[in-house]
Amino acid sequence: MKLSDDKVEIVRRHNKVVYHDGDRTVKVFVPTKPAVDVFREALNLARMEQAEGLNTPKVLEVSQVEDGSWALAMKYVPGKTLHEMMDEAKGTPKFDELLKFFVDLQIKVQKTPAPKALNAQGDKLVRMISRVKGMDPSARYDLQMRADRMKRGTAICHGDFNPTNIVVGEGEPFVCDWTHVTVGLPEADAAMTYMLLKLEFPEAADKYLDVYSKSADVPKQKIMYWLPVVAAAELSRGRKGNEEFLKGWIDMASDYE
Amino acid sequence: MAQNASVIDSVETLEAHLKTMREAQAEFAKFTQEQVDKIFYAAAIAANKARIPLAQMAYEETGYGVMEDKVVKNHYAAEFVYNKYKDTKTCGVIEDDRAFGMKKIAEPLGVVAAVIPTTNPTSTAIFKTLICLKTRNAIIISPHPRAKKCTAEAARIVRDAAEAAGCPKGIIDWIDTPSIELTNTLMQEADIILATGGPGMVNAAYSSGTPALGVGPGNNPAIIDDTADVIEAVNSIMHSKTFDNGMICATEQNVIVLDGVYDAVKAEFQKRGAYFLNDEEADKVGNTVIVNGGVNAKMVGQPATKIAEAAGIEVPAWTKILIGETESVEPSNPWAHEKLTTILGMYRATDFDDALAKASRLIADGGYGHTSSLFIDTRETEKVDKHSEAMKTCRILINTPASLGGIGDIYNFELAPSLTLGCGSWGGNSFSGNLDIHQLLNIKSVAERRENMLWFRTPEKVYFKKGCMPVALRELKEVYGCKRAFIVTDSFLYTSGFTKKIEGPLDEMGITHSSFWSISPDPKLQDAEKGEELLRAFNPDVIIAIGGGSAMDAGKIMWTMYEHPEEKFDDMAVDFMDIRKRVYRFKPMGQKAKFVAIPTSSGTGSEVTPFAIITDANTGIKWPITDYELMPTMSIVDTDNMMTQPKGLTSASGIDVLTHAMEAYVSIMASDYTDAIALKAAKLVFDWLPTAYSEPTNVEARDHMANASCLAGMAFANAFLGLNHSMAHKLGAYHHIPHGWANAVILTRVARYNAAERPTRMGTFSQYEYPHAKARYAEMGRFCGFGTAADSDDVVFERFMDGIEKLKDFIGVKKTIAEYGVDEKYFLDTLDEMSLNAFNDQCTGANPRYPLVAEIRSLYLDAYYGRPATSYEDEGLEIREIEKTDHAGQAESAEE
Repeated sequence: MKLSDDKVEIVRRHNKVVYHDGDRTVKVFVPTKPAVDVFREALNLARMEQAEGLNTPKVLEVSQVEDGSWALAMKYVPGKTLHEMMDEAKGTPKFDELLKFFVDLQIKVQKTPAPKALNAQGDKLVRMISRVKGMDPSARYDLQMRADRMKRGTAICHGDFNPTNIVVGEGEPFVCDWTHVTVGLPEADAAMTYMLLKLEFPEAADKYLDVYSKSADVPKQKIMYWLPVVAAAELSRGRKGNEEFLKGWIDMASDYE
Repeated sequence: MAQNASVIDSVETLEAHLKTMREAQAEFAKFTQEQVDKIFYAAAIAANKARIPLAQMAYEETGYGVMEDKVVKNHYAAEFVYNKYKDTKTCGVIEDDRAFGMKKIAEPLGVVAAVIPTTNPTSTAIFKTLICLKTRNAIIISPHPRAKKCTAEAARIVRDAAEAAGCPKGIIDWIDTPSIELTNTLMQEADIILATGGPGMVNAAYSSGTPALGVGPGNNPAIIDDTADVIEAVNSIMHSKTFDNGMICATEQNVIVLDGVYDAVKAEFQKRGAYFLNDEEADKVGNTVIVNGGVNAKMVGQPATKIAEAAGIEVPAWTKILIGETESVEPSNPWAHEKLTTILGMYRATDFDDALAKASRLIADGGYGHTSSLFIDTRETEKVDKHSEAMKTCRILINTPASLGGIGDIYNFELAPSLTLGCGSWGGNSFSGNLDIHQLLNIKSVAERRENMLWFRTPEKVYFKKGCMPVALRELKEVYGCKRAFIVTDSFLYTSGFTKKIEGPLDEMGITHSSFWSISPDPKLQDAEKGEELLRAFNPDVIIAIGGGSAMDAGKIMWTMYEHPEEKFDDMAVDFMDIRKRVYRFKPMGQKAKFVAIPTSSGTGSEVTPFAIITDANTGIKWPITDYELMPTMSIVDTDNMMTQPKGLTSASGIDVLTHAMEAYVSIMASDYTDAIALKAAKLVFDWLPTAYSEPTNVEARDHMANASCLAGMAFANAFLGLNHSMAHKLGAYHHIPHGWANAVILTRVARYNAAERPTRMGTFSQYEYPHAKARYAEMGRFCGFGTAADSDDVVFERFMDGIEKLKDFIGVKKTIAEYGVDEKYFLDTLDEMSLNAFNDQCTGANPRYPLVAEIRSLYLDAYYGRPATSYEDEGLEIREIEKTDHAGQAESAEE
C-alpha cells in the first residue's frame, strides 16, 4: 500500500505510527512486527464488524509499505477521543457523566453477543504471562494457574478498553483497536481497564471501579481477583516505565492452605 | 526401571514414570495388611527422625514461617497420623457381617496426584505419602516451585524407608520441575487428586475431570464472649497466631471482642507481646499486607517486626503480633481479609448478636466452610448453640488455639489429625471433614441376598363355633373389666334385632351400651364422622362392630378416629411397597378402647385383617387404610349370626373367600404359615359353598364357610392379595358390581395370567425367586381334589380352573362383565382410567406377576366380552401393539 503525501500523523508508539490519510486511518507497524500479528488484528476487526449493534472501524486493507513493513488500513472515523473529552472536563460534573458513558459503553460491548471463533481470554492471558521476562518462576506459576482456571466466559472482552480507544463524533460512538479482543469474563476485562486507567489516567481509575461495579452489578473483589493476572500480562508487552508499578501488583500469594 | 532414575521435568518423563508407577501400584495392591503396616511403620519412623532437617530446609527454601514450628508440624504429620491409623484395617476384608450378609472390602484407588503448597510443604508431603502407603496407593507429588526441594526431600525420605521395608519401587514420586503443563497433565492422568493450595489450584483439580479432594482458604473470625476466660482466650490466640507465623489456614484472622471484656482483652494482648497500631499505622500495615484484596506473597508467614519494617513503622523488638483495631467488616477494609501472617484485626462487638453478625460477614469475605472460633464459658450452652448454628464453617472450635486445634488430635481427640481440611460445598469442596485415609479407599460392598423377616399376625383372641358369642362376650367384663360398650352395625341388622343378642348379655353384666347403626354398604367417611361424635360423647372402653365387611370397616375407622382424632386419612392411606417401610407410622391403638369384631357373613374376613376401606362421600375418594394396629382385639365367629344370609350374599361372599385364599397362596409374600391356612380355606369353599348356597339353613355348611372366611382372612392379612382384587376393586368403584362377583368374573382369567411361565415382569420381593404361580395354583388344585401328584401341573391347573368355573356356575356367577349390565360405551370410555387405577391399587404389589397397565386393560376387555382365555405368556407383540395404538397420540406429543 502507498500512503499519500497528505497523510497526517495521529500518534506514534514504540511499535507503530498511526496516520490519517484521506478517508482512511492507516497503522504502519515497525519492520520487526510479525505479519501474523497484523493479520490477526485485521481478522479481529473483521470479526467485530459482524457483531450486531457495535460501531467499529471497517477494515480495508492489509499490505506492505515500501520498506516491507506491514500496514493496516481502516475507514477513518471522524471525531474526538473520549480521553480528550474527559481530559478537558476534569474537575467538572461533565467528567463524571463521561465516565458513566464510558462504563455503559463497555458494558454494552460486553453484553453484545460475541462473534464466533474469538480467542479465549484465559488462553491469551496464560500465553502473555509465559512471555514475561525476568519474572520469578514461582510467581509466574501461581499466576498462570490462576489464569488457566479462568472460566470460559461468553462476553466480548475488548482487552484494551480505555478512553483513547473510544471516538465520539456524530451519532453512536466508535470503539477502535480490537487487537486484544477475546471472549471471556467481563470482570477480568474490567480489571484490565482499571489497570490501564491507573497507568494512563489515574484520576479516573478508582472512580471507574466504583461506577463499573455498581453499573454492572459485579462485586469489586471479583474484579480485583484478576488484577495480578492482568498486571503480569501487561508486563509481557514490555512497555517501559510501568514495570515497577506492575510488579507491585503481581506479588500476591495465591498458594496457601 | 531406567525411567525411575531420571527426574520428571517433561511430559514424556512424567508419562514414563506414571507407567512404571502403575505397575508398581498393581503389585502393591496385592500386599497384605501385615506387609502394609510394616511399611507404614518404617515410613513414619523415618519421617519422624528427619523432622528437624526437613523443617530447616523448608524454612530456608521458602522463607516462610518459623523453623521450630515446622518441626512440630513434621513431627505431628509423622507421629499423630501413624498413631491414628496404625490399627486401622485398610487391606482386603475390613468388615464381615455373616448374619446380614454384608462384607466390606478395601481396595486402593490407584495413583494419587498430590498438589502440595508452600506454606506447609514438608509436613503435607509426609502426611499425604503416609496415608497413601497405608492405603496401598501410589502417590506422585506436584510441589510448588517455591518449595520444590524440601517437598521432594520429604517424599524421598518416606519413599526410601518404605522401599527398605519392602514396598514396591516407584510408589512415591514427584515432579522435579513443576510447571503448569506438568501439573495439568498429572491431574488428568491420576486416579484422584489431593489438592491443597489456593483457589486456583483447587479449581484446577476439580475441573480436571479427575475425582478430586480439594480444600479451600479460611478467614477464621474468633469471638471472645464476655463470659470467656480472658487470659486463656488471649493466650490461645497469641499461641495460635504466632505458630509458624500464622500460616496455617485455620488460624484466627480477626478477633471480635464483646464490649464488656474489650479492655481486659486488650491489656492481656499487650502484656503478652501484641502491639496495637494507631489508625495511621494500621492503614500502612493493612495496605502492605493486602494488595488489591489479595495477600502480598512477601508478607506471608513473616514475623511482626519485619512486617512493621516493610510498612515503615517502628515497633518494639519484642513485638509478636500487630493488632489493628478496626470497624468495617466489608472487603474494602484490608483488615477484613485472610492475612496468613502475624497481623490480627480486632473488632468491638456491642453484644453477642453483633459479634455473630460480624463473624458471619468475615466468613463470607473469603472463609466459607473453613473454621471459626469461639472463646466462652461453655456453660453458656445457648450462646454456643447459636454460634454453631450461625457459622457457615465446617470446623467450629471452642476455647481452642485454632491453628493447632483445626488440624485435629491436639486439642480435641475426635477431630482426625490431618493437614488437609475440607470446607464442604460452602468452600467449593467435595468434603467437609478433615481428610483421612477412608477417602483414599474404594470400599467394595459384597451384599448377599437375604430374605426379609416375615410374620404371622392375628387377633389375640379368635372365638368360633356356633353359639360362642354370648360366652365370648363375658370376657368383656371378666377379663377386660369394660364398663361402656359402643355397638356399630348397619341399619338392616339393627332393625332385624341382631344387636339385641349383644345388648342382652351386656345388660346382664352391667355394661352400659349405646348403638350406632347408620352404616351404608360402602361405608362413608361422613357416617363414621357422625358415629365418632357419638363415640366421643359416650366415651366407651370397648367398641363392638357387628355385621359384614362394611360395619367392621366402619368400626375400625371410627376406632382410629376415636383413639387419634389428630391423625389424617390422607396420611394413613399412604401407599406402601413394604408395609414395614411405609413413610407413615401408625399410632398405637387400644389405649382408649378395645375393639371386638363379629362377622355376620362369611366373606370379608375383616374380623382378622388389618384392613379397612372408607369412602369420602363428598369427593368420592376411597381411603384404603392398612396397619396391624387396626387388628381387632377379639373376633367372634359365631355361626348363629350367619344363618340368615340371603343366597346372593352367600354366593358373592363365598367366592370372595376363594379369591382371598388363592391370591394369598400365590402372593410373593406367601409363607408356610399362610399357605397352610389358605389351602384349608380353599378346600372348605369347594366342599361346602355349594351346600351353603343351596341349603341356607345347613348349619354344618355355614359353620365351615364361616371358618373358611376367617381362615382366608388370616392368610391374606399376612400374605396380602393381588391383581384380582385390584381389578375387582375398580369394577366395583366404576360399575358397581358386588365385590365378590367382581372378583369371580375375572378369577380364572387372572389366575391364567399369573400362571404364565414367561411373564412380562415378575414381582419383586427377596423371597420370590422365580415365576412359579402355575405350580402354586396346581398345588392348591391338588389339595382341593383336582388331581394327584402323578398329574402334571398343567393338567391340574386346567382341572382346577374348570372346577372354579363349575363352582361359579353353580352359585350363579355371570360369565362376563357385560352380563352384569355394564354399558359398553361407558365401559370403554372409562377403561384406560380404570386400568391405571387398578395398576395403582395397593393389592397389586403382592401379585406374583407385575402387571403392565396395557395388560390389565386387555384382561378387562377379554373379561367384558367373555373372550376365551388362552395364554398370557409374554408374546412380546400383542400387548405392545395395543399399547402402541392406544398411546400413539401421547407419544407424539411427548416428543415435541
